[in-house]
Amino acid sequence: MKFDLLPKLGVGLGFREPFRADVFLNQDKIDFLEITADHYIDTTKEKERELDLLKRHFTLIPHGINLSLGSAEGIDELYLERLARLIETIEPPYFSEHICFTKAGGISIGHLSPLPFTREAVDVISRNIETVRTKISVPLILENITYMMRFPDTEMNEADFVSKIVLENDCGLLLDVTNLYINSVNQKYDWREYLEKLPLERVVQIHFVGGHKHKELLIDSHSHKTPDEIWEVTKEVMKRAPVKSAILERDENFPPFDELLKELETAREIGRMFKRWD
Amino acid sequence: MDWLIENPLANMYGPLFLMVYAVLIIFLIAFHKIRLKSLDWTAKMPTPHIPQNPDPYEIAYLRGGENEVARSVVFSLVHKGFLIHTKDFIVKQEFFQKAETLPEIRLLSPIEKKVFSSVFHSSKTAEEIFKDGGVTSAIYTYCYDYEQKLQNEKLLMPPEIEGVAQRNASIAAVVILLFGCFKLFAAIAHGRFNVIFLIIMAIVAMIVLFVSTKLPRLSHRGRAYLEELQTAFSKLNIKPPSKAVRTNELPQPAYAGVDPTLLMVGVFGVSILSGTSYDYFPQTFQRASTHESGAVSGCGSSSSYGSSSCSSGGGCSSGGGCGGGCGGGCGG
Repeated sequence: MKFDLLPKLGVGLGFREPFRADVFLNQDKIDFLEITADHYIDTTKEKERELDLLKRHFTLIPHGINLSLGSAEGIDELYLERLARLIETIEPPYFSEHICFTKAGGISIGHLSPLPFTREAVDVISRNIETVRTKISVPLILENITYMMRFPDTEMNEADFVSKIVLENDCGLLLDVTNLYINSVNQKYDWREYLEKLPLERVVQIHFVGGHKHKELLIDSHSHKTPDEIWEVTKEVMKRAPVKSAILERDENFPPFDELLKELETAREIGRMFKRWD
Repeated sequence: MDWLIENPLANMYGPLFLMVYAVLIIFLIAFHKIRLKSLDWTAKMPTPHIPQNPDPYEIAYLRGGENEVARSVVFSLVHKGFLIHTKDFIVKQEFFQKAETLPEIRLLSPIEKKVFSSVFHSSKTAEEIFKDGGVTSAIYTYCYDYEQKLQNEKLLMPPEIEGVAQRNASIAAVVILLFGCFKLFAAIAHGRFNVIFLIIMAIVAMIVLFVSTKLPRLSHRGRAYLEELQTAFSKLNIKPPSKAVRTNELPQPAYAGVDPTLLMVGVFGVSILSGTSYDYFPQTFQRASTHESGAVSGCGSSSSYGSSSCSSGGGCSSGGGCGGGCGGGCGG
């Protein structure tokens, strides 16, 4: 897959229902929307209407939560079919999922759970991606998640793990700069070194938002404005990677919409600075 | 000519003929109703995009005509602190009157300025708002423009569709009447005068035909657009009164210069204010509706400027002080 052929989407917002009116009243300040795919799978008529309305006004990128690419038991076929139908309806240039597992033994964990950084986990994900591609032909980009602890018997570091998955499966990378920064603090590594090891030419999209601190740990709660440290990571990534789109991913503690627009404008300026978009 | 009064239909036993007649009437009305749906060619047109700066008054007009615009303007004047709502407990009347301390006039849009300067020299009851010389008269030219714009965008039922629908209804009516008249003529020719049921049935059929097959004010495209507006803006919050006024600020830039509370009223009607600090609003207009009932036409009073359904000859209908409104679920 030639990821450089994907369209430049600019700066957008992770769509959440409380923003609905605001996004329509600020269409010129939001280049595209990322929707949580699971909110529109097997859903109500109201959500279907909402999706149709959003689709007619914005480019939509579906962001999956529950595909569980890291499940050793394989992909939930029913979920995959529904996701495929949704993607067919939306016709996005690409879709995204997480490098994690959310289901085990047929039970939903309800959380993005990290995988052990092992060859076996890479193989599991590769097998599952192959299954996904039998139903969905749209390019897939994968997102790095946060983790609080590391598995014992880890065979490689996180950056190598992510790189292997992305390169071996010809996927794009959705680099969550907030997750990257949080992991670097919690796991005590240098995020610049992490970036060195990543196939940065595969970065298609970034996520940014602020979390909060709990004792010594940073928590990826998507609940605060993007702090300066994460803007610094964003600048470095924009400088080095051919980023085509950026998404503010706010989920909690919603501020006045103006504040979100200011963050979008900051990201837009950073992208312009490195000629990622006009 | 004997065959006219000597044939199986003319000689049919009365109650049996009434049954056949009823079946014919039901068939014609149902056929006409089904045809009506296919007449509305705006269903094939794409629904317009939601504008970034929606005009709450234009939306109010789309939803329910000039009375809805009038309610929205009065609400906005109260919301911006130019009018206050008062109650006289002795005469049990509610009034809208000029506030003692007025905010800066630049806070008002042209339609609000016009209403404020030309109507509220003295206090007005909710009923007076809808009478001649009230708000509905002051907003006539604005409503005329909305009507033209919405007609051009095919959001209101195009007059040519109404013409075809009326022609079809007339054909159905002629068939029903001819059939009835034929039996009436045959019965009288046979010296039978117990035709009261036949006459009643024909009259009822005419009423049902013209009432049940009346075209809605909004075209399919208009209804789809209104539904989309209601979906898009259902998550706006009702802001407390006068916040903008205290600071003499225009509405938040986040809303592209649109006052979100006024937009909610435009999109959903004053009933959306129930349970907020403007709770009295829907109730006041509801009471106005009760007092006015019988005087003027109905809910929402969707007069059409330059098209068919305007109640008074000169265009903008007066009155119609229904607090309820209709269209997109306003009311209260």
